Amino acid sequence: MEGLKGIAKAQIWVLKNHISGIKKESRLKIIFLSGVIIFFWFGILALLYKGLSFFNNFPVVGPAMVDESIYIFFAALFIMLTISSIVISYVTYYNSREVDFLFSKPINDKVIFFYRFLQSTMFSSWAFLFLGVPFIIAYALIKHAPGWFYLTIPFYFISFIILPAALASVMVLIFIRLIGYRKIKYILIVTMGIAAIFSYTYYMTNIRSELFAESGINYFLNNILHHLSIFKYPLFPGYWIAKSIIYSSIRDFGNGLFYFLTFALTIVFCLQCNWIMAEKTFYSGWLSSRGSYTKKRFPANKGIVNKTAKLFFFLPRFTTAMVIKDIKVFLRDPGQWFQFLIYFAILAIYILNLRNIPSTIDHVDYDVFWKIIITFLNLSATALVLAGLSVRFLFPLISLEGNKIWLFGLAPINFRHLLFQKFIMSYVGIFLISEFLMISTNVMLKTNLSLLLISCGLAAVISAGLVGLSIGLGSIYPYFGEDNSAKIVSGFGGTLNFIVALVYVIFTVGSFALPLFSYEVYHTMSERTFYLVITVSWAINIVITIIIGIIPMILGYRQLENMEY
Amino acid sequence: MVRIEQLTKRFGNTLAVDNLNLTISKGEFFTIIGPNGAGKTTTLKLVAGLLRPTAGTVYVNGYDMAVKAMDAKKIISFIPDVPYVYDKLTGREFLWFIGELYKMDKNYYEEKTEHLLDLFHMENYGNQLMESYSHGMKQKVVICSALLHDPKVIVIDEPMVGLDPRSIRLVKDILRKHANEGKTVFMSTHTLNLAEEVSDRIGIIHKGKLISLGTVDEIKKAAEKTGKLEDVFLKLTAET
Repeated sequence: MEGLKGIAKAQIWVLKNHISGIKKESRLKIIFLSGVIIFFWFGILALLYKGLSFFNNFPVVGPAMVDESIYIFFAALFIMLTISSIVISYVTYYNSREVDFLFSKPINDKVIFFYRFLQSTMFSSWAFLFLGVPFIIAYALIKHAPGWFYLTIPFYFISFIILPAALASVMVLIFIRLIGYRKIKYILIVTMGIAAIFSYTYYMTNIRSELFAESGINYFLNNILHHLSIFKYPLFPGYWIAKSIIYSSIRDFGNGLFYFLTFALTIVFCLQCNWIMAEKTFYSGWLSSRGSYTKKRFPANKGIVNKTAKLFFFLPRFTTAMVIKDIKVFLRDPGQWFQFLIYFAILAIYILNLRNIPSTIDHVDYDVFWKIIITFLNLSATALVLAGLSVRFLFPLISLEGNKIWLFGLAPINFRHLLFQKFIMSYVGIFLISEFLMISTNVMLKTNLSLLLISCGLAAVISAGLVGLSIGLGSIYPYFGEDNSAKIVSGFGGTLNFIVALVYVIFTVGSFALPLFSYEVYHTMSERTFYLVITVSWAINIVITIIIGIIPMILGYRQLENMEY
Repeated sequence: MVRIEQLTKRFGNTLAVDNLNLTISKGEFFTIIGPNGAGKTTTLKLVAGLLRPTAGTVYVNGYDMAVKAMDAKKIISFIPDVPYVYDKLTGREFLWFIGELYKMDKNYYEEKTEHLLDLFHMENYGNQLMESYSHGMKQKVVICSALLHDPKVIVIDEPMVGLDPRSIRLVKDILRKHANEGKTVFMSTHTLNLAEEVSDRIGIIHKGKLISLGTVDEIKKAAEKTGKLEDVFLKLTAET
């Protein structure tokens, strides 16, 4: 296989250089940062364990709900990893200077393809490492799984990241070959639109009508379980891995192995398809992508973005220019806005689903306990989506200035202006999204005014913290040599951002949820103490938000100011 | 216009620029030449404020780059050897963006953009995304962006890379005219013919040290060589 040895050696050298680069860093810094990551990783594990224990302790349906969570988790993650891998593969295979270089050398097409395939698989693996693995471990701890189960986790991890990547890769190869590089983005949007309409129609006609017909808490929970049965479609790969984990955790080795092998064989099949497709279509697809740059004209003073820009006359000129530039670059990069659309599609499905909950709750013994649970679960879900959005789209903002950063070093502007512009632009976007989500979901949940105000206030505070954290860490750990934002996020800084954001969100939501439970549900707190605790919670959260949001921004500013080009 | 005093730059253990002293006057076209890794680009970036000196000072029009960087940046332009631009912007949008960064009058920079695009025969490509441009076309846009705010000092690193012969001639003429108008041009190049043709003075840098300085004739005389600048250059930079 021509070129395989060369690429493998080059990667080993890259790795060695990377390690020696790390060794040159201060040992204290390495120990501190490693410690922070390990600490936060175990923090996530502890929180997931607590959350699953909470559900597991529910009478009758508790253990079943925990199993359901495994199905949901792997189904959702499988779909998200597949969609995100489509975008990453598209960029990694056809929009990379490295591929141009490799194709100019006597290297076998299939070697180039699989090298890029492995890279795109690795970019998508980090989220699973920090969410999926702790989830499996937390589940295993609750189920008192045998010791050998823990040894199988790496196999689950590796196989679960390969299959979505392999499926996505086959899809991209086919799309590019049959449809062409430029049209693929339109095809993806239309496909997503059709899938969304189909899913919604199917849900309304086949599922919703069967739900919520009777009252009673057990019926309510049973309905939830029924409602979630779509995640257990037996031909769906996410189901096989969930089944394998469930069986293995209860020592049913035979069934666990059966489902794992089903999953593994599917991987082999998909890899084989990739192998065949790569030989026949990768080079020709890449060639067709080379001549595909648009000759479309974009008059500089026409179009919605330019016209809308006139509304920002009150902003400093530099800020307006940067905002317009960022919006144009974003809108002209399908890889970016396609992932943004995925987030919004997920949010739309989530909000539409909430419409069912108040009517359900009216029928059952719905009390303040459930009201608070649902409100804070809603707040947590929304905040976690915001955390995901900020890590995925805001952390790379400074890095994406890339090799053009010299323009700012040369221009008579201060890096404070640049960071301020990124912060303001991002905060306005994230704030509007978060408040829209909070108001719409709370209205659908028919929560009372005080819960609505707390949710909206918290969303505003969390948004500021998340935006500052992501832009600050993105400036402290920039990756200027890379145009692929998925790769930028998958580095150390992105991982740190993801973990800190996760813990920050959970802490913030928890600091309000716990006093509310104590006061409203368990009545272990007087009204006076409750308001005192809530006030203290606000104060602590604002201080933490300032620390989380401003300190990384200050350090990021210093980093940029001291940077050499 | 540009005064460099005891300028030193280290990258770890590597000494890139070693105690450099140089003055480039108003209206002078100065070219720095030297072998690869001699410290040319580092010197240019230090002058443009894109690198921080380990020691020494750079003054641009009397402004100390370390203290009054903002004032200096308003009157200086830097053209890098690799034209990094925003691929998802059009050439015209990029130039307007630069106009905004320098807080120029909108009508003025729009008019100047048209003039520069026309000058570089880019008017038909101005509304196309720069991802579709060739290397030379991107280089032209970067040169246009450097000329947009009428800088008093132009620092330019390997200006002719990727340009077609007509554009090379155009850039040479523009830079020469710039110097003739009393502005300063500080260029680095490996093209010795170009240096010989357009420069008022030349500096030869080797291993971070300025080893020769003067007009072409002065350099030849000092090196005790006649004939081409290439022979002088090879003699002075020969590894012993």
